[in-house]
Amino acid sequence: MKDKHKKYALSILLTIWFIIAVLCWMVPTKDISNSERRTLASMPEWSVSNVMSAQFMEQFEEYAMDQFIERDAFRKLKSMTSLYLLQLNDVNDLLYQDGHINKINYPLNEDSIEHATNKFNYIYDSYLKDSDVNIYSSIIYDKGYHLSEGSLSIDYEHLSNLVQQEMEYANYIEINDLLSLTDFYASDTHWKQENLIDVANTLLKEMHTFEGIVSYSEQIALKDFEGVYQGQSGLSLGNDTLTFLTNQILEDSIVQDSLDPTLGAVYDISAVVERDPYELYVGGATPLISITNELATNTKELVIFRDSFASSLAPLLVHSYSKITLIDIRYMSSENLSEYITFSNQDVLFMYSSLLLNDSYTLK
Amino acid sequence: MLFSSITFLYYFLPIVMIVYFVVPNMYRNVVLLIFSLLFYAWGEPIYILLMIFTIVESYLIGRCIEHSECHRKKKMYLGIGVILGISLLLYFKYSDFIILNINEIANTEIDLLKLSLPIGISFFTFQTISYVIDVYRRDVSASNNIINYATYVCMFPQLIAGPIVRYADINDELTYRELSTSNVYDGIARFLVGLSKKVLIANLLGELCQIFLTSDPSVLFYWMYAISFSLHIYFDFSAYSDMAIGLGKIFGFTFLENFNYPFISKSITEFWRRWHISLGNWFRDYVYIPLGGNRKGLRRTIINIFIVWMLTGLWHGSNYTFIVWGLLFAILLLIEKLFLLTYLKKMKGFAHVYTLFFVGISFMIFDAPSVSIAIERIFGLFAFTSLPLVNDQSMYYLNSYFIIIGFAIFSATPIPTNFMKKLRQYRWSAPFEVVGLILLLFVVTAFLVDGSYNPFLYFRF
Repeated sequence: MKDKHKKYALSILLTIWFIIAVLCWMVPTKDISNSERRTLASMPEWSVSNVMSAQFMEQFEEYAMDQFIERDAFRKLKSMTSLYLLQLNDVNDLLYQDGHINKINYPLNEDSIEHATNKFNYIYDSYLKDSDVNIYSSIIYDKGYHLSEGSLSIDYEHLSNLVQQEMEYANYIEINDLLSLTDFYASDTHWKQENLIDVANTLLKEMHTFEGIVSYSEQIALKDFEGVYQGQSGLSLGNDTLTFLTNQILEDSIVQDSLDPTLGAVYDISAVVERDPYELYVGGATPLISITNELATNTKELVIFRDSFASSLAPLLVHSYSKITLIDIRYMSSENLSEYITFSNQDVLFMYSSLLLNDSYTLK
Repeated sequence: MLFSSITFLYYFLPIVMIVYFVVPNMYRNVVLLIFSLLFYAWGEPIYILLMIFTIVESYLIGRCIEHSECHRKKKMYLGIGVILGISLLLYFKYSDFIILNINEIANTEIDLLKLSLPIGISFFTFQTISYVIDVYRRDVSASNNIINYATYVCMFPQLIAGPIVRYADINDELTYRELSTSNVYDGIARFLVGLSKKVLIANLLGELCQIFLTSDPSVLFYWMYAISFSLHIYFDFSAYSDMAIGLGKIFGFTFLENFNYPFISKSITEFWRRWHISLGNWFRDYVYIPLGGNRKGLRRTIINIFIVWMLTGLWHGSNYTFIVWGLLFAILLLIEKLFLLTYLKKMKGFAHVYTLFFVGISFMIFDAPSVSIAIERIFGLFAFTSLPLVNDQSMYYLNSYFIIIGFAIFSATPIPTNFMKKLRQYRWSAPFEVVGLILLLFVVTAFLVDGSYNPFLYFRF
């Protein structure tokens, strides 16, 4: 390249580079990344001790990355480059296959499964063993089970066997044959409530509380639902719609959250504009929450030990019970359960996704 | 501070460049010095004192050597300078290794010091040692300007990972250097190419090596690891050298090349002429030749080779794996020197395979946390009966990283550079080059913004 050309080239390069730099310095900071659903790092506090311990520098590095201008656009560029130019199978362990984004759930962590079943066994020994409850278990296989060949996936059957072996006191209910990839959101980890009626009916039949087909009306809560994987991957699919099923029973049901004395509804529409729109269903992530069926024709109760998948499923079981209690031992200790609930004459369902069982160390 | 970080790219470097080019020529070394100290302090604030001590100590030693008329005194000052440099290195880098060995041999329980390693200590101590030796040998005059000398020792482009620059090589440029648009452009282009090599090739290959560590073993994955790690370390380190050379050029300095396509070598002897050239030259000029080199008979040559390569290994880290790594090269170089080189020259295809095989094996030792794990990994390459040849994981990651590994192999040859050189002769290529560099800047930024895997191997040396 001739010197004259280099002058022009240098001017263009430096102008672009310096404009980005100046924008980085000038653009106001953001508190939250909606796409990644996390709090962004802010400018660290300046102090002598902070600087001398190099903490200031570490925090500044995080701040510089988190507050970079058009961060989401750059993250998208990274994903596109990785997947389409470099032909990587996944970005940050997130796989784009069959029109879905999925997190690689591999390898099977038997230690984690043991941790989970130890917790369940503790609950059984402490609260259920000497009570007159009917105990059931069910595992929801993640999207990896339904994806076509070519991705890494755990041995789901082995996972299921391990759980069943450790929970001999529970009747295992198989639901995964009723599901396919289309029953899950393309951009999210979760399943779609509107596709779960068969699953709900199967569970009710296996728990001997099925009282016939119930009809629902389908309502759209959010047209452009951007699931958690979409934010994490930086890719934009933009084809998910967050929907919920409702009927008179659900509209009249009352939701009571152990953390909030005010009574609520089964669906919290205001949640769709919050960080995680999936919290629309039964209060979202909360340690203990109950749905009381005001129109119940029986006195049967159901207790579900669960993760987030059960939030969208539970409303579809309400018509067969007078009360459903959802317990999430990621947010409360299993040792304190007796302070909140008495186990007597209930159906108890342990229902967890393979994602959680394979990384269960948050269970308390 | 990493060159491959948002902080460096969009905060530190633009500010340094603005200030550097705005101030008059006479203050430019001061600007470089202040920003270099800031750059160093960013990672290790407390060790800035160590840096200042090293600068002042070696500067004064240089002055004393030059101004002493008595040869014995000169020798004494040289001894002090070299011992001080080596002592710092021994204390900060090797004290725990020495204590561990004493505890093992003497069955004692001396507590470890657990010092954090000052970043780049192996590089800047070697630079100051080379300076006092060069002054003693009268290869160069002692600096009479401490600002210039301090700028030489701690200039941020090459401060923490080389290349090991000798004072004699940039002495003139420390006093006067010509800044030109052409050099600044070439420097930026070289820097961006190095940055891309680091972020888009080295880091991704590094990720694959990390995955290997937690994967189900298979013969295929052991081979993928051996190839990926060799390429990873090459792209990681040569990218840093590219960035250092590019930054040097922006600020008017010419640093010598540190890598010259080592993977095209057809012998280990040739490999070490192409790999980390500044380190090889340092050991040749300041250890091997002073020991007598190959001028004192075969027996002494063998001893000298073993000493040099044991030290080269130890320079890379305080672990027996590095000693074994160095000694493996000593044995291979000796065998080549004695008879193999003649045959290798006749069998070029075999020579290439032989070189790549042993380089790959050596880097498996280099990366292993212990000698036993290194042996286990090397056996993994040939465990055809005890391990599965392939498994789901190895196939998945081979499929995933195939393009990157292939691209890395291609880029490790001179073909892309030669192609680019030819292309640059055409006038119409200029806009494409600029667009290419801008695209690289954007893509690299995208990878850095997302906080991907981004360590730098040679920081630990």
